[in-house]
Amino acid sequence: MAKIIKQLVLKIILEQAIIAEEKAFSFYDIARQTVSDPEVRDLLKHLAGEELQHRTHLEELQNSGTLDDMMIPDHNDLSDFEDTPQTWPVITGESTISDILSAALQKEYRSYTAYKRLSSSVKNKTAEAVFRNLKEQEKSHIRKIRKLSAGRQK
Amino acid sequence: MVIEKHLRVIPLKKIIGTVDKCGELDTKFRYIKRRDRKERFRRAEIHRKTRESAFFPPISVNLYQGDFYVIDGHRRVSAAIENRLEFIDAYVYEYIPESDQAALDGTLAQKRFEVESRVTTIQLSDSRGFTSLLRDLEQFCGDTITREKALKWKSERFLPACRSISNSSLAKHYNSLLPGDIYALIFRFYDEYMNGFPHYNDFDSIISGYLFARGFGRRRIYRRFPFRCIFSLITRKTG
Repeated sequence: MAKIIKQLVLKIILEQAIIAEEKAFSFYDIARQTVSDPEVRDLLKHLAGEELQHRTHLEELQNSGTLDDMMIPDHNDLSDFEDTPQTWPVITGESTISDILSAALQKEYRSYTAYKRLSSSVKNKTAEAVFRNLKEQEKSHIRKIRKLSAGRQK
Repeated sequence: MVIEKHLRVIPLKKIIGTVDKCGELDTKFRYIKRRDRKERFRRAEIHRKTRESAFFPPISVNLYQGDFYVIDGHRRVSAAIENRLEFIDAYVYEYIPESDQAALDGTLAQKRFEVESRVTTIQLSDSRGFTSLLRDLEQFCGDTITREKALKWKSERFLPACRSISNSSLAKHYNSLLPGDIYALIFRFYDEYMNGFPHYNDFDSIISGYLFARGFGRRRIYRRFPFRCIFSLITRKTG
């Protein structure tokens, strides 16, 4: 019984991560339709695609049946998945590219931190590999956004 | 414009007419007026050979708007109908009006796919989907497309994915499309965002991502009332 409850809790936690990735996809997808700069649009489309890919990996992990020895993360490690009003700004016609890139950067930092914590706390090889991979991808997103922002400021 | 589609197996029930023998044949493709000995003998020979081996040279047909019209092989069609065969070999020539650009694009896409892959057994209701299938096949095969790799793509990727699609709620949303068409749609979506399908272990997760992105997704089970509360409890727990 305890094992079943533990599996359930882990799936609920993974569902929160999936929600976070869905929100990221929606943000990037809407943003790319509002900007006219082709370079920014391409980056936002690429980021949207990768967030969707993250969602796929998390869902496969959730359905994998290999969560038996996975540790339930500490509640502090899950705080990045809590939904707050400040997490996602609303994209309007007046949103500038700087606003969008700034919001994207914040989001990527949160995700990077979250997956970094999870990869060290779960103690399950499959889950660790998934979270580590997601962490690295979020890190590369941060680099790309920073590079684009820096290029635009010149 | 007439486009040659080479030899393929076609369903007998889709053969609905003739190109040049209107008024001469009945609904079972038998000559109405030619009942002489020579005609009876020829028909009997073909029927006998059909019963014995179910094999005869392919017929020639015109394909127009999804239906076939016989150019050559009326007696063979008659024999196949009488022997209750379901399919027949045919050289197919597709007729497309030059004003129908969509049909033309679709037919050319299909031809390109079949020439590259040498796989002619995939059916789509919108042939333009073959452009997506060819792109998916190119990514699967890597450097060069061979018939063996194409068959592997079909058996390991395409057909299992079509089965997943048939079992999912996507079939309900796109009920006028075949599973292959929906596969092409999904591929085009992922191709736009990430140049093809991401690596996956289970095509159901690809379908799930597509359903979400398109706004078709139902409320997932772990987001429903009792499970949401559990997550809130977990994050509020003190050390």
